[in-house]
This record gives sequence, C-alpha cells and structure tokens, in this order.
Amino acid sequence: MISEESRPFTVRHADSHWVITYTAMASPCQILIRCEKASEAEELALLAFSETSRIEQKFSRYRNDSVVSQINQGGGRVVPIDDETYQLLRFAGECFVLSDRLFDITSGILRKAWTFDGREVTPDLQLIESLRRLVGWQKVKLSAESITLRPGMEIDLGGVAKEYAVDKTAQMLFESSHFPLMVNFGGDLRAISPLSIRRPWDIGIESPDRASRPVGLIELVHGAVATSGVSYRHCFVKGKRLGHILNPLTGWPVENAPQSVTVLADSCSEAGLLSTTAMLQGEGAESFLTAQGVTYHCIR
Amino acid sequence: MQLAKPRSIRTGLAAVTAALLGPGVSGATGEGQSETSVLIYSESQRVTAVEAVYDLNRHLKGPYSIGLTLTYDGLTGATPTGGAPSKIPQTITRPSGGTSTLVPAGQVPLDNTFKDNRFAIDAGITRQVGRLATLSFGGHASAERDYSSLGVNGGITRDFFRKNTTLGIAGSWFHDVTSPKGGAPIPFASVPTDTVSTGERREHHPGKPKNINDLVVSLSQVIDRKTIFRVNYSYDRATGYLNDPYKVLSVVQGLTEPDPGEPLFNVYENRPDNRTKRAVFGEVRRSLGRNSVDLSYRYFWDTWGIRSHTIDLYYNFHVGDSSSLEPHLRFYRQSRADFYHPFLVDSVPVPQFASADARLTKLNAFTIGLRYVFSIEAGSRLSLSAEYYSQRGDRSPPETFGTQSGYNLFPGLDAFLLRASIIHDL
Repeated sequence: MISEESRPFTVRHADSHWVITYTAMASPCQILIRCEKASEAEELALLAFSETSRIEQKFSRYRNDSVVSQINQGGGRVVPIDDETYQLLRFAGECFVLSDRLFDITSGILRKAWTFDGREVTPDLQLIESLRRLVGWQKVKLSAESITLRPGMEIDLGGVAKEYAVDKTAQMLFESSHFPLMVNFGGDLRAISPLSIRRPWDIGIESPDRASRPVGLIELVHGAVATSGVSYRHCFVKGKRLGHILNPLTGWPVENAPQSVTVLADSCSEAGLLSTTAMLQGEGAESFLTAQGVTYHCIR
Repeated sequence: MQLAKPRSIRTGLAAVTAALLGPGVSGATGEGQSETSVLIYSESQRVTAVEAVYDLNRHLKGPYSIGLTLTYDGLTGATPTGGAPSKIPQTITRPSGGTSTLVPAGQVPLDNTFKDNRFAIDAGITRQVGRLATLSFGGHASAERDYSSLGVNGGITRDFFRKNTTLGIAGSWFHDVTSPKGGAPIPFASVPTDTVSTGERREHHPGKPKNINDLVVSLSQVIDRKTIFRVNYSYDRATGYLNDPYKVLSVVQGLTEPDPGEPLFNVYENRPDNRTKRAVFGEVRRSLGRNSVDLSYRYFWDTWGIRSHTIDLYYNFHVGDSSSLEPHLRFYRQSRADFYHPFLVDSVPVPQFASADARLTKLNAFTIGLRYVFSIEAGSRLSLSAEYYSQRGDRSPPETFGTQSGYNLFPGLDAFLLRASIIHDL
C-alpha cells in the first residue's frame, strides 16, 4: 500500500469524471477519465504515471542515464538502441523528410549561438557556421539496431518525446480500461472518447501571455491538440525583433514566426509535428496549415 | 514574392505515425474496424467458389462493442460422389430424375451439378465488465438451398496477473436442418439409375435435424514483452443427421464373382448419428523487431476414429513504411474414419456404418501462401493474398482388389485461393 504522502500523483473526483495529476516531462500532467470507482482511478493513475515516467527517463536529454544522453555521448561511435528508440528516431527521420528538412532533431545545438533575453545581439557568424555543420539528420546513420552520430553532433527528442508520451499514455489507459479519457501534458493533449459524442471535452486555448481568458475553445470528441511557441523569448539584431525558433537550414531565427500555433490532429504526435513545422514556416505558417486541411489557431 | 503553394504532408505523416504508435491509431481511436473481402477458390477441374464477406467490429455506448459478419458463398463444379471407378462408363442420375452425367471408364465419378448459394449472418455483442473481464453473446443464422443453421453462443474472459494472463471459456449451440431435394435418402438404399428406379429410397420428412454443442477453454499468457503463448482445448458434440445425402458407395463384385472389383450398383451412405470431436491447440507468437513469427500446432481426435495434426507457420515482415508481406505454410495430416470404405463388396455382410466420402479417409495436405498488406490512405489498408492448396490421399487403400487395384481411388486435389480485402479503421 502506497501511503498518501509518498504517492507521486493525486486522484480526485470531479462531477462526471476522475482527475489524475502529476508532474513529469517538465510539465503539469493531467488525466481526466470517466471511470466509475475510486479504485479504478487509483489503478489507472499508477499505470499512467509509470508509463509517462518510463518514457521521460528514456528520452530526456537532461538525464545522464537516458538513452538520448548515451547516444549524444557516442562521439562518432556506433550506439546500440532498442526497438522503441528505433521507432521514435525513425519517426523523427520521416518527419525530417516530410518537412523538407525543417523539423530536425539534430538542430538543438544551434541554440549555443543565440541568447534570447530581449536584448540586441551581434550574431557570431563563424560560430553559427561551425554549428551548422553539426546539424542535419541526413548525416546520421540509423539502423534497427544502432545509431551513429558524427562527432560533436547531438540529438534532442524534446520535439517528439512529450507528444509520444501523451499518445502512449492515452492509448495504454484506453486499451486497459475502455473508459473515455483525456491526457493533457502541459497543453499537448489527446482525447479518446468513442462513447459520448454528445459530451465532448472542452479545450480552452490559452493566450501566449497566459492571461486568464482563453482566446479560443475547441470541442474535442476524440483526437489530439498540440501547441508550439507560447513564449515571448526573443532578441534584436540591428533593431529587428527575432523570436526564439531557429531554422536548422540557416542557423538563424525564423522571421515572422507566429507567437503560438495550436493544431488539431488524430494523434498528439501528428499535431506536434504540424505545429512545429508551421512555426518554422514563419510568414507561411497559416498557408502551410491550410494546405494540411487541419483545424488550427495561429496567434501572432 | 511569389511563394510555392505549400504541399500537404498529412497523409505521409499519418502513415509514419501509425508505424510509431501501432496500427489503427491514426485517424481512429480504437473505435473499431470494418473489412470487406472477396475470395475466389478454384480446384482444378472441380469446385469453384466465390465468397464475399463484410465484417464490422465497433465500440458502442458505454462498455459495449458489437461485431457483425455477413457472408455470401456461391459454389459450382464437380465433387466426388463416393462411387468407385468402373471399366465401363457410368451415368450419375439426379435425385429427381432430371439430368444425368456420364463418367468415363476407370475414373472416380464426379457429380458436376454441384451448385449452391449460401447466406450467413453472425452478430454478437461484448460487454467489458470492470477492467479485467468481458462477457459476450451472439447469434448465427445461415441458409442455403438444402441446409439451414441457427446458433447462439456466449463467452467470458478474465485477465489475471497484471493482464499477462487471460482465461476464457466460450460455448455455442447450433441447430441445423438438412433438407435434400426429394427427401433424405434411406441409408444403404440403392441409388436409382436410368434403367432401375423402383422402390422407396427416400424419407418424406421435410428435413433432418442436427444439434451441435461446443465448448472452448482457452488460456493466453504473455511470456515476455515480445512473446505470447496461447493454448486451448475444444470439445464439440454433434447429434442427429450427420450423413451427406449426396454421397454414395459402390457395391462391387466379390472375389468369387465373374468380374471381381467391378461395381454393380451404388447405395446411399450411413454414418453414426453422433460425433464427439476434441482438439488441443497451442500457438506461440513472437515479435522480432519490426517482424513477427507465429507458429501453431493442433491435434484433433474424434469418436469416428479420425486423428489429425495441423502445423501452421506465418512470418510477417515489414516492407517499406506502411506495407507488410506474410508468407504462410500449413501441413495437415489425417487418419481415416473407422467406417470409411472405398466401396462395399457384394455377398459380404453390410457394416452398420459406411461412407466412401473422400474427406473421411487418410490424407495429407499442404498450403503455401503469401499475403501483402499495404496502406492506401490514413486508416485504410488493402490486403491481397494468394494460396495454393494441395491434397493427396490414399490412392489404393489396403482392401482394394480386382479391377479396383488398377484405379486411382483418390485423385489428388489442387486448389488456388485468391482474396482481396479492404480494411478501414473507424
């Protein structure tokens, strides 16, 4: 029996459902589930927390023991990987191709050349140029058993792991319970509710300054929502304001990127890729999303 | 500045997401699946069958889900009557008189007027009970020209040990009625010929009933993250009219007669009015990275004296992003029923039960097949499969003598099967 104090999650009852909350993946995690009994909610909470923690430990770049850290410490050597890691890396690789090289999990290293604290900066062109040589998924060798990065290269699964965790946690809870549910990790969420078309989940879209009033409302029966952006971090170059989204092809911040992009899709992994890729389109974010035929909210 | 029109990456993205999160996720949330398929089965120079199936599985309100299957079968072609070859051409006459078929000398008689259409409906509902158990209930109805079947079934499953173990028990009850044209033939009555058609050979009942009860106990066990093991035991008991009203036996001349082995006339078959079948089945499925292998074995035995072994092997491997290839091999071997007789002998006492149905004798069969499944759009897949089936039996059973020794009493069977299905995730 786990005592109330030491439990890493809380479970409480709301009018028509149970609310499970915990902190993981650097986000507040909330799960709403329409089960009947407290014992069911408790059991599902433990399942959800275990799954989310497992994915976080495996794919966080902030943990030295994570798979991502092992890969980044490979220094040009072949690093063996398991099937789940392979599937996630392969997904990231496919997204790289689909997005015309804009979505690139090797691009995080470019952040070393920029400081987004709202001040005027003088970009170090030489540094940007040398970092750009360490960026590019096409330089990575991936097989079902191993991955090899060039020396100095790094990967960051921040752009896919959280969405993946949302999808996996939601699917696992649904498969083991068949109750309608919504998994929400800091605004990236997935709802599975085939049972009650008449009672959709209401999703509020927060304004980027986190003011109290939602700027939009989405009714979701089942599907997923992911948001990119939601940050005022920026700098100025020669008086021109630049946001914190970096283009992996140029090494420079994307000009005229929206402040935030929220996308609806079937899974959180898809919504996340579409919202991130839309941000990278800058001025063309809306037309890119329109071409995808998805429901979206762009805030500029 | 003129910008290029952005292209849609959504379909490609849905396919790679499905690869990441598992099938049936993208565009669907486990709500269900529908499958529409067409099958063509063709035996060389024998039966040709066409089958169309619509299958739907769907979650409903609350903890309920439903399943519905509609099937149409159309069969035409030739099937062995059970009669023995003769050195002179034979004629086969229909029950109502009507058309007759000429069988060449030395060949196993085939009835080439075999033709039927069958419609079947199966419907069921499953209720999730708590997190660990399910209850299901369903019904079955099918009809063809001379055969109808009605059935009900129910089952319960329960998960144990963090869902690593599932125990199930299921049972069904069927009531079938055979209504051959002209009435069911009286066992061992002689089959009318063009020249002789006197005497009462058929019962004038509207139909002959049969009841079937079966019970299956199953256990499924997750061995490790990549391996699952299943076993089941099944018990099936049928009582009532179990004869095939279209099968006959030849009565051949005895050793002391002028032409030993040569057929004199045909009689209708007679089988016991009950049969108990039992089988044990074991299956191991293991994932090998993106591929998987499935191996199963079944041992079957019944009160008619038939024992059989079936081994099935499937290997599924991914080809590219969203397609898979699945080769399939099956071996099957059965022993013959106690009352199987390739023919009866004139002047030898008639056994209580006798049938010359080729399906009740010793035979070996193998199947080799290939299935290809590919994604046509998000949430939809096309499956194409082709199989070759070969059956070889006892060409010259031990009791064969006289002219019968010179004939092949079990012509081999070669068949091709082609199936196309469209699967939609709902």
